[in-house]
Amino acid sequence: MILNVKLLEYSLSSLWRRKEKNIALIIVYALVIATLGSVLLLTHALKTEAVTTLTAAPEIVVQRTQGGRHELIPVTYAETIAGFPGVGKVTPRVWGYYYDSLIKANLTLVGVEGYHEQLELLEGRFPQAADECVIGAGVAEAFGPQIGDLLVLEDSSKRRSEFRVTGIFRAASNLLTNDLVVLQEAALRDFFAMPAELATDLTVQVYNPREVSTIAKKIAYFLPDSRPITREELLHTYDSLFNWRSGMMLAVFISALMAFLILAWDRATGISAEEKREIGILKALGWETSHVLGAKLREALLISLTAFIVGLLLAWLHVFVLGAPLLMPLLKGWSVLFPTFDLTRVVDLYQLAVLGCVTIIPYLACTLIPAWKAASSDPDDVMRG
Amino acid sequence: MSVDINNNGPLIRIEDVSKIYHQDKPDEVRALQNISLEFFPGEVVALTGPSGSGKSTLLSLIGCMARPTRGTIYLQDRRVSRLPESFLARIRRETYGFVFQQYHLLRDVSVLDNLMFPLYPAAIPFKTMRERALVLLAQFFLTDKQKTKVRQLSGGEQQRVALARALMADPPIIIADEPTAHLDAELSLELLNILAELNTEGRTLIIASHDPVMCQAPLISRRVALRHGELVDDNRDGAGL
Repeated sequence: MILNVKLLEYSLSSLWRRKEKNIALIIVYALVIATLGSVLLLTHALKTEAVTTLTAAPEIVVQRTQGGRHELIPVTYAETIAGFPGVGKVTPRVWGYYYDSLIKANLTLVGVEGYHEQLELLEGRFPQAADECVIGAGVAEAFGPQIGDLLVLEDSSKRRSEFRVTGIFRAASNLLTNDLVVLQEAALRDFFAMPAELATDLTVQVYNPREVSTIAKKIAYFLPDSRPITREELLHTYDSLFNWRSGMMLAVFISALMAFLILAWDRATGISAEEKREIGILKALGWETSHVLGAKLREALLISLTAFIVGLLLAWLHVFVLGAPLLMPLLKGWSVLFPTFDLTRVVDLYQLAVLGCVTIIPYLACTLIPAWKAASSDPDDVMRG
Repeated sequence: MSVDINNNGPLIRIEDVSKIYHQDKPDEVRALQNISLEFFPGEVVALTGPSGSGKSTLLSLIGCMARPTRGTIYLQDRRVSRLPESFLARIRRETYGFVFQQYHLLRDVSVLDNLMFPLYPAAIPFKTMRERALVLLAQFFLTDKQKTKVRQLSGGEQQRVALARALMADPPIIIADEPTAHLDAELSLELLNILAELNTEGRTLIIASHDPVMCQAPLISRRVALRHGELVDDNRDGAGL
């Protein structure tokens, strides 16, 4: 115990003696960790957003395809699907995208039927008339309307439609509701000029989660032009998408890590004459190799853990406070992410452990190997240089 | 492992020792060749000889800071020349106090901390280490310099710090390499007085020097001369304990 405290005291004083060099090292090291950490935190937060969003999604969404492209689906398909054993409620949904050139953003317009079970209101109520709407927090922020104000949208024939805002959404995740404008179904059909016998897609409730894939197969079999998408498939898609994107980012930033490690290795293998001399003196005074290594290990741990904590804090600030301005365009993609939204602040401890392993362990090795080399030589050799 | 200074046998025995640096390489240096010597408790031995004669190398071998290429070194009856490094470190810590020619102090560290380094590996609390260091600093008139960094001290002060550090673990053997090399005549005499006092306390002193003031001092009980790595004279006509 006494020895541990004394070695720690020695390590701290040794670090302090070379404070300029060590502070510069910690800054570079922390920036590398902040960069890698930002990618990991952002990817995980986006995945969590997606998972949270999809938790409230229906077990199966059925679309219709024609020539490989998404087409409107006949409402009568709902009756066919509802007849399958194990299927609960089948709800036709009406929705579409609306690009607003003023705020240069895509909004998602949905009919209240089929959605209001998944969504939670921030304040106000769902639309009860054709000229009423509920909007997401992002839309409210972008356009500025509050409850009671008018939201003006233009359809494809440049016809202006006015909707009074009756509520503003919130959800467990902002990802789903942020860009939403919810109208009554009739109003939406009118706005998109969509016939009453067609819907954008169908949501299918399945009583037993184990039967989801079987029912999806049945739907595809009996309605060959349909494309059933299960919630699991959506989760996999999000997972793959963000993994791919974060993988690309990590591939880029791993080179930064490598550059840092090469620098660290260079610094460590080129252990300065002064440090070598110091090791030689300590050995001559009766320090054992293990004492020297113990002190050097403590120094390396103090540097790497400080850099790791500072780097993670910077990554946290970058991702969750500043909204990851440096990475968001690369990782988020196009769709519902306009306007901006706040990421859920979640951290994957496993990812942090991996980050710690790939950044701390190589640094420790880079530092300890040359120190061990010097410390295991005879003090006379080390001091003679 | 410490030594028994009441044992009348040789304290250190060197048998047919050679030391070759960079062996079998183009820059091979035969620093010592076939040296056999015995050192007894209480002796004050001067290793003399010109630069490059092998004095410092012999001190390194005696002090377990290097291993001989050939031959055997005994500390009392224990063969130390092939002991594992951890044992050698312990011997250096408990048995020897070193005063190096270049002092080998940590220049950016305070005087007090420099003194305490030899006791870091020992199971001695900070408080005890500090008390011991303060006693030695007072003994060497360095109390007011305890917080001063070594680089700010004069040569004479650094020499005294190096001596004080050598005594921190209360070793029975002091090894000094050219201790007067950077001192003027007055400081050299002061150092001789200190060394004499250490010998009076019962310590064995082995001093490498080619300074006549040191080599001819009455304190010296034995002179061992080296030339080109070989033993050329071993003269026991001095004082000592």
